[in-house]
Amino acid sequence: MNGRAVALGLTELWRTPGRTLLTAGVLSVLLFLTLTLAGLADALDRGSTGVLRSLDADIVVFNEEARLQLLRSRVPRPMTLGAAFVDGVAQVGTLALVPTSAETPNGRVRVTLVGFSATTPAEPTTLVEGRLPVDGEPGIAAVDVALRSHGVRLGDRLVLAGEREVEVVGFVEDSTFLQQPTVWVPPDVWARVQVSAFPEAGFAEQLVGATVIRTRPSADPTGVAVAIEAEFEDLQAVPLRQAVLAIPGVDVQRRTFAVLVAMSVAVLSLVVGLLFALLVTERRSRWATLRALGAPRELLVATLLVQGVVLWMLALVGGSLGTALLARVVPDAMPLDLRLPVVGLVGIASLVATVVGSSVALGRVARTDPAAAMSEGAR
Amino acid sequence: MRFGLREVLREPGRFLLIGVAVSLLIGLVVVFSGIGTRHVDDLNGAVARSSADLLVLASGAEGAVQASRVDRADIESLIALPEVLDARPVGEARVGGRIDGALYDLSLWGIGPEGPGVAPVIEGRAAARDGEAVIDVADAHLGLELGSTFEVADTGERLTVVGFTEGRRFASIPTVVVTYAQWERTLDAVFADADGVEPALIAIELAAGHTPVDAIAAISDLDLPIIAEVPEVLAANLPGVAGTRASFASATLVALIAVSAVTGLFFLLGLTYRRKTYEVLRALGAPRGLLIRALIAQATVLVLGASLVGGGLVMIAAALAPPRVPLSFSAGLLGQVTVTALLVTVLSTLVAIRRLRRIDPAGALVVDP
Repeated sequence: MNGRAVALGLTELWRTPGRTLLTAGVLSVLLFLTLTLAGLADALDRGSTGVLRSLDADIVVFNEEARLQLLRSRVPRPMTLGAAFVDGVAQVGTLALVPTSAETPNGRVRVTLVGFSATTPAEPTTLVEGRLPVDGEPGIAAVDVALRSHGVRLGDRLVLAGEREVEVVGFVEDSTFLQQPTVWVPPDVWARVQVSAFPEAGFAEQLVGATVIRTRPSADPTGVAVAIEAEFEDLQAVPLRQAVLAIPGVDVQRRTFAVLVAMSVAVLSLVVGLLFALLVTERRSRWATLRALGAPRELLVATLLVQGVVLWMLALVGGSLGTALLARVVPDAMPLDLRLPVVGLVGIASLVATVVGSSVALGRVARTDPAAAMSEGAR
Repeated sequence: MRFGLREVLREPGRFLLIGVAVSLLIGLVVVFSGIGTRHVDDLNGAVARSSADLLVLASGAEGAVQASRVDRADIESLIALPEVLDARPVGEARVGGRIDGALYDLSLWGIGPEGPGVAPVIEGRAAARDGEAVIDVADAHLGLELGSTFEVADTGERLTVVGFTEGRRFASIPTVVVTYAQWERTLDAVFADADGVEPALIAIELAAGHTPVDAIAAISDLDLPIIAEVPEVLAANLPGVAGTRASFASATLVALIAVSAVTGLFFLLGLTYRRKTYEVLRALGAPRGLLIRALIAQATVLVLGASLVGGGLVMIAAALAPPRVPLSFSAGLLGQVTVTALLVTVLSTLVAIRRLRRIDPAGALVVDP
């Protein structure tokens, strides 16, 4: 029966190509809206959080006054060293950020300078070309691949904050912070730029930004974080996921866009419901004839389901193509990106919405009484 | 008109379903526009609405106030220019604040108490002395009112709220304005090991008869590591502003396209499924114009009803949303969205109208197989 349902459903759609394409087109627009929202949310989120997500770390430690803000954190160096002796800690690194600018071949751009200690959990794991700087190496940097669009290539020299020159020796991907590309340098380079940009911030070589910790495989990161806080009362230690959520705007953005995406999926469900209700009304007598000729209820329900799934597939392809095209034409300032996991997630949600939306119509088809429907048709 | 409305009443289920869908879409359009505007205001309001004619920042900061520190000595060079009447330092820094026992990140601005850049208050008065602060009315929900106090967490110093500004938040966090002297003192205390505190910006008042363009050129000719901009331009170029604006504008546009597509399809399918009824009506003498007017009336009622419901949904959502979600209801915005939605809906019904015009009364005599 499955084969017959597929054949019948596809034949019906094939015989009314105009209507099929029109319906798929409208559903495509709704999926285009949903995917655009989901793509925006995903790109905004990833653009803000890359710097932390690119680390292979379990815990981030801030000074208490920083309230989990990477740009403000100033952990005294002795405390960083002390954290290495807390039970469950496998390795400790330092990570420090400062907003600055970089002179690229295509002009000056805003960047976030990241001072990190090499071969520690503070090292980015997303190197795609070249190598990372090592501690104490003067005038060397790895940069985010986002700077390639500004003409930056391996071996180029960037001028940071209008005065400090560094040579690009590597590219890392997906490591942006608050939508800005990052430039990864040894801690002493960061310290010099920090002191020069923010004289009030104090002697930066003694203050190391945040401390990044990898725990032993057997240790529970939350428990280790509690132990660190108990040991050092001026520090605040949180699992990496919580530090990501504390990046300005991330939490609110996630909540806001989740509601907006849910609303557009609900609209999709309603529109599918409406389309199928109209479809069932129009074809009621035809299906009653089929029932009178011996077609089982299940065949008609399966036929309608097949049509729903085919329309959903066409709409998903159309919506994805539209969003991918939009992502290509929008200006660089607009963070829109369409990744397969996002398409997959929206695809599943929209398939559920399609099935839910068509469920009322499916119920009506299942209850089709051949005699009554045919007599209505005759009238 | 009456004919169109009767049709709506006869098939309430069908119209209710499409009505709910369009309501949600219109609600989305209103939310996108509203959140987009509020979000941008929260990001750059303090700069965009500055009362200064020009703001000067460090050229190396690439337009980011956060990354800007200017040499206070540059103020003398600026005041010496004939285009400049007055120039004052403006400070901005992130500090911790304890309000009603809860800790917040605050954007602490040091301005005035006199001179360009002083933020006009909508209630109370501007901060004039040490220990006084003005906050934005959008942050009043944290538990602040005129006369209440809060603590600068990093120093333990208490500030008293003496006034409220409106639409002057910065970086989407609670924004506090104190006198420049107070700001300097607070920063000195926060960064006790620092050699000195420099302003983030310099606010400029132009001399009579000079334009911002003249002054920007004159400041550029000084050959100092600074750059001058009109506040609105500086605000528009702050990090994240262009992206936020473009993102929400695109989402609004796509949602409007969805309104148009959904309503267009609804009327087109309705016409297809009920072609026989229209053929009979035409055969009975109903003029084309009557049917077209009925269709437009239905589209209008649909959009107006959906706007009311969509607006109501946004109102409820705005009332229930936590204060940190920048969602608010604006009747003016709903009006604009309704008019735009009406236009796109009428446009989307053009295909259906074209098909309606082609309906042949003779079709009523043909019996469908």
